[in-house]
Amino acid sequence: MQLNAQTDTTKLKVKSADFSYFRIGVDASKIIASNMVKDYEAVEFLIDANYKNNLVLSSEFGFGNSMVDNEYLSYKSNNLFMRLGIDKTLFNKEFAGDMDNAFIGVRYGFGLVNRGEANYSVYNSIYGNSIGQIKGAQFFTHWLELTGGFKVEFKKNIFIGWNIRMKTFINPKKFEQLPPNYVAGYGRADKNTAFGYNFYLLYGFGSRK
Amino acid sequence: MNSYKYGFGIWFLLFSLFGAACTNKSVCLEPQTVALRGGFYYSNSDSTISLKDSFVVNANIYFGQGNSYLNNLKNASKFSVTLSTISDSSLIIFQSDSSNFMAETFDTIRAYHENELNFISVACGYQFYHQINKITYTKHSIDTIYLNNTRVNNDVNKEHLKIVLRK
Repeated sequence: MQLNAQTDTTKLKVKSADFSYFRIGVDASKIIASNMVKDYEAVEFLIDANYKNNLVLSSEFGFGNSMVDNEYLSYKSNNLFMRLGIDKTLFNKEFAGDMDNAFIGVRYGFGLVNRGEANYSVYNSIYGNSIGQIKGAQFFTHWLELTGGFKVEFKKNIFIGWNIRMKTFINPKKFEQLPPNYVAGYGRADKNTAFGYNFYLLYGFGSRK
Repeated sequence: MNSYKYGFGIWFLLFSLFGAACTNKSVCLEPQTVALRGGFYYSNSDSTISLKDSFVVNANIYFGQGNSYLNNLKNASKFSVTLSTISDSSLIIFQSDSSNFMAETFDTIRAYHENELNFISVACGYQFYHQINKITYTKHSIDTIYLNNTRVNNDVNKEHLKIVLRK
């Protein structure tokens, strides 16, 4: 007697309700980098939530401070920042509750920057050296980002994620004169465009159905 | 997790780490020199102002604090000197014949200028540019000085003074 196995040719279509699953996390790479370099430190947090079947709304925020201390300039700065954006996942879910995915996304970032008073030295062996101070200043700055990355669930509700970012200031002229060394959330403030990366540890909660 | 997703994630991580390694700190490359630049000329016989380049055979230019810096010009038609960053005038002494120390071979040129702080970069800090307001000079070897460009910055192609020498 022959038995013919029947093949289920129906494709699995997995859908989830909007805002049913959330993840909160911290950028571990910034914590590590802050302990390894002496001229800046920053902390970044992330909250994201699923929206539609293949979109994720993302909110990132944090703070940081930096300093410049070389033979020509010396000053400190600090800032708060936030980034809001949306990601599109690239792969279909393989089963209900599958949260592993690659994504591309866009972000709008903005920050309030406080640059402290700066001391400068201009060296001139022919006529003599000059020293002086530049007043502190506050800035509002904003930028746009393209990002792409990957988030994978390696234990139940615990995720790791990594991504790269390309950023560009919307108001680059703000920092033409004596920029802060580092703007948390953006990077080196003397660059009109910047490249960045993140490595997140996240915890998820909510319904995966 | 499916293996193709896993492979994609690994490649993406490696790419991210590579990109992170390429992010480098600001480095101060040698800042460009800010100098007053001049040239030596004789005027045409009809005194029109189409100047012809002239060589000084063996001249000296003294400048700096106490005029202690010397620029020896041999068969040269151009020169450059730095201006003071701590006062609003700079004294330059032109000796038309370095082997002759008679008074008539020396001319003094004084440039009156405003010093402006100019930001270079975080790594290099600031430098001074100058805005020349006036030039005064003696006329032993010098006939006339034309102030061609009043802004002294790091543009190496600008000539600020045209010094017309007596024939």
